[in-house]
Amino acid sequence: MTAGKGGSPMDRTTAESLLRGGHPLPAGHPLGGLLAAAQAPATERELAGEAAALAAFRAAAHSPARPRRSRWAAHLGKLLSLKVAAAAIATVGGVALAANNGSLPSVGGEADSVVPASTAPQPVQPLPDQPRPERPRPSAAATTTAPAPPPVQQLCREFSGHAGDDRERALHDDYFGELVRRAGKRDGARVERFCQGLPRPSRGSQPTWPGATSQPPRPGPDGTPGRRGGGHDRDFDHDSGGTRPDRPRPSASNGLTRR
Amino acid sequence: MVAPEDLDAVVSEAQSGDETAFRLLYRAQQPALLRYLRVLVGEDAEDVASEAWLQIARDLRTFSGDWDGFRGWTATIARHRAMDLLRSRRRRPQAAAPAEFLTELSAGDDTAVSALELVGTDAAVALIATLPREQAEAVMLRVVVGLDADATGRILGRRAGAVRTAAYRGLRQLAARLAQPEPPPPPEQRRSSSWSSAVTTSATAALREMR
Repeated sequence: MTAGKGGSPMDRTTAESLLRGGHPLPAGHPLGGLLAAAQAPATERELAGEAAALAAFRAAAHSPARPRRSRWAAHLGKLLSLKVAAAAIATVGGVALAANNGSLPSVGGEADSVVPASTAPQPVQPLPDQPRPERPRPSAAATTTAPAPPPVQQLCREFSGHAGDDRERALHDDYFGELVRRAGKRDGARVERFCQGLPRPSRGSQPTWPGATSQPPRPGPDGTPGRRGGGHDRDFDHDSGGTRPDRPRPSASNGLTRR
Repeated sequence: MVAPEDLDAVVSEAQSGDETAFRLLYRAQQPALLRYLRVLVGEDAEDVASEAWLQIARDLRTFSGDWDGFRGWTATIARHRAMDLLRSRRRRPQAAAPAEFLTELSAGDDTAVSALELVGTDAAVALIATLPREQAEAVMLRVVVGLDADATGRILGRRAGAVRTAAYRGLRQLAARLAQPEPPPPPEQRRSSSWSSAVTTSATAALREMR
């Protein structure tokens, strides 16, 4: 297939060369112009989110290294649930009896706790500082150890779930009173900035952007795993040098010289 | 002008908490991320980019790598946030935001056709966005984000060869569309030229695919 008023064929070699950042097409070739435009230096409008990004950076700098702690918590949760399971082995007979008598109201999933001792042991006592697993499987504890988000983060999430005009209206609701008080002003943009500056709930709990809440991870439309959070992001091999270091980024130079 | 090897140092300075360094990274990477996201989610690109930067700021200390790695890492994060949004759109169908964006393109198509060297960034990205998504993503990640086929393949979950093919097909389609208006038809006919209808048709296809 040929293309372009320059008459150069768009074959694989030409394409690969274009993709590598060289521009073998004659000056004024439409495709060269198109790609150059797509790579053009940054505009002010594109950098409008800089303040918010910096605020998030500052907030992260003043919080403890959350992701590692979170992973720790997951491991701890597994360990604890194993211990609980071990304890369950010793006591399952008594528990089954007690549950049958209805004298153990705190046992989660009553029907499941009376299984014979020969099956997988069930955790029977939620830890005091741990939400009770909805289904008492040992592995369930690992996914439920994330602490419930503080009320303000909860409010932020709900606030950000409102679109446009609804946001201002929502702020007049007493329900969001605490959020307005913390943000300092009954102003949508102000509250939004305040919320963006908050530390996020830890990995494994709900994300904070609208539309993605309470959504189970599932494969994306192109078949890639739809996991959210940083865990999967780290699958990317940072050290492979898989980019083109030889071509300075036009947008980079623009952004950097503007200082 | 900051050379890429200097940006390697900037990455590690930002990781140790240097705010100025983080600002540099933002200015260097945000335009590419934003344009890539525009191809994925249209007008929601700014919001998704903001979400991505919150996560980047939060997780930067856990990242290990240089400037090249940083570009791939941030593109991965941006893509995940975009996929979250696309999933939620499928759950709660709403008015198609990208359609408005594409209207801008067709309104500006005279410019795109007659003065291609002067084509604006928005129009260029919008035209790329009309490609089938796998082609559009391959072109954007390679040309705009500046990743090679291997790195792009890791982000898209595809082999490097498949990425090369998708990018090649994308470029070939773009070249074909740009070449269509030759010789230039009279102005009244140009609106209904095959170039416009080709874009419209495949824009619809791209939109369908995005949902």
